[in-house]
Amino acid sequence: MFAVMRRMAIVESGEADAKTHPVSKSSMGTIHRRIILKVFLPLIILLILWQIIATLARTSLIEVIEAFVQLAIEGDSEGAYLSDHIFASLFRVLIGFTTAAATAIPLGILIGRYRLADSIFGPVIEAMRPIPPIAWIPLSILLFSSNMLGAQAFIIWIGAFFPILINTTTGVKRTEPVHIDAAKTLGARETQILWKIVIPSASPEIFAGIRIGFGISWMCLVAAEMIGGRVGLGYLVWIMQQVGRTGAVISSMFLIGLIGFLITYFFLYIERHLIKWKQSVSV
Amino acid sequence: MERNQAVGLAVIAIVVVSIGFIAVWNPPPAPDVRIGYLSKDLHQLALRVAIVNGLFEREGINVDLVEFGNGALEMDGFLAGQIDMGYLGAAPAMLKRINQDILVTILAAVNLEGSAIMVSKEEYDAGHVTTIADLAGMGVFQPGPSTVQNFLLRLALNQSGLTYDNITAYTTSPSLMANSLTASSPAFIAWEPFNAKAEYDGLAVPLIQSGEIWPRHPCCVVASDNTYLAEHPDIVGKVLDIHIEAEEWIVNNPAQAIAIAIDWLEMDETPVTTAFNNIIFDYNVNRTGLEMYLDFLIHENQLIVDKIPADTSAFLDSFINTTHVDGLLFCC
Repeated sequence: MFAVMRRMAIVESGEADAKTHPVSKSSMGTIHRRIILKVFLPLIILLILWQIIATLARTSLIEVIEAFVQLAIEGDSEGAYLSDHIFASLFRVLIGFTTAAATAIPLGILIGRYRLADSIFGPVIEAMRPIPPIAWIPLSILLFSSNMLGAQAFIIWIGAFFPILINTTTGVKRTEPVHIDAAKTLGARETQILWKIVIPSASPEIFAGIRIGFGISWMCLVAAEMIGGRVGLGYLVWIMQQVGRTGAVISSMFLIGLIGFLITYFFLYIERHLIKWKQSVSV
Repeated sequence: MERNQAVGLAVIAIVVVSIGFIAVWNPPPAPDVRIGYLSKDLHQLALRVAIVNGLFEREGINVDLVEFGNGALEMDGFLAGQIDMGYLGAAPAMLKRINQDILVTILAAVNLEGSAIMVSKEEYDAGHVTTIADLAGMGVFQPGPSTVQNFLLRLALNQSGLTYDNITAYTTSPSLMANSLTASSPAFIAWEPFNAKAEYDGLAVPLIQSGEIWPRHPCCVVASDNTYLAEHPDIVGKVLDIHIEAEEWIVNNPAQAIAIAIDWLEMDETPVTTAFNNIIFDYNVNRTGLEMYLDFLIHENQLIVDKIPADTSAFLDSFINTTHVDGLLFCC
């Protein structure tokens, strides 16, 4: 069955054409059209969009580029380079996001698989979920007394936790009962049902949750780094606003967007290759 | 009646009612002046006193008050045309006046001094940090790299034979500083009432007051948008008269001023009184202090290179206009 689905995917993606036929003029035209549609047009729209944003913010793209180069080569007034800010942000997000994945996936499986867990944790989660991560900022520093990194990772964790949890729960609940019944009939134990049926069945949703969770946790970065510190892209946006360097604010924002995009793209790529049976994933 | 006709009539009715609502809607009268201020900042008590004592009503000025989280955001409020005048720190006013060409003029001071370097009570009581020199190799929380507090911190370190490089400065909001203190980052510098509150809560004790680091250093000011100043000099003059009256009232009626502050800040009397006594309420601008601060900004590369004023004295002449305040001083 997987072989058939793989074949269908190859046909859909046009890979088959490329392998079985020599590159013709029409296929070259298709490639050019694809490049224009998928690369150049979005790039031009993005540039126009940033130009509009820069103009409305009383600066220019030239100033943005200059600020970018200055931050990358000379660093900010505290001596931190753009690379320092990028790595600091990635490190914080990595801590918050991995903690979210490590806590949300097992809990999601528990809630999705066992009614008792669902009835106990379900209402608690539904009551906590609507609170936006930003609303936790004033409390985070008190909850993680004197631990700035912990407070920041907590905000990021909040952002990623719920999407991963909800998707995992949904994925587990969508497992075909007939598969579980068949496994039980064949004498499978609960751990075998979990490992061989429930988790593989829920993995497309779990991966989607991870991807969405990462997106939200990356969005929480600016808010988390506004708690304080001395490096980080969110910190840079905040400080540069304070000192009136709008060009640097926009270049930091652009970088946050670009890195977020690249990592989301990476997740999609992994998702597509690991979950081959889920054809709706597109890179 | 056919169904389509009924739908058509309903759509017409919705449009007519909407137009009628817009026509009848009476927007509130435009204020004479929109004044920005910082939320719960004791330095800006004069504005609160003017409101509570009804000074604007007495002068027949319709005021719209706009609250901001910090001075940098308030300067953006000037840029966006949201406010005509504002109570804010001299530091963000000068910094954003230069870096973003936000055309404002400082007209009067609001207060002098009123900041302090605070140290964790635990570390102080244990004898680990009792002087500025003890901060070598430690973390210090500060409100931003280009604030007056950052400048004060550098000055204090220099006065104790240290440099800024001898400490690790972390930027955070003053409201979070006291709760962020650790053995490795035992100190912070902030303005009132955060210092007095930290002391009252038993979290920190003052290591040094800003007045001891830099006597009569500039802090908050009253500024006006240049276009507004040119078009409405009469209203600006009245607002300044009110400001000066409020400042003098605070100095002459400290107990009543503290009572207003307690109500405004929603804090206990002890920290408010402590904070109040650390602030000098004075409307006279410390021009020399602002000149020092401008030199600091240039020296610390906080200004966009091609926007650094070629003649700093001429820049300050255009940025500070104390004609009104000086006139009152000489006339009365």
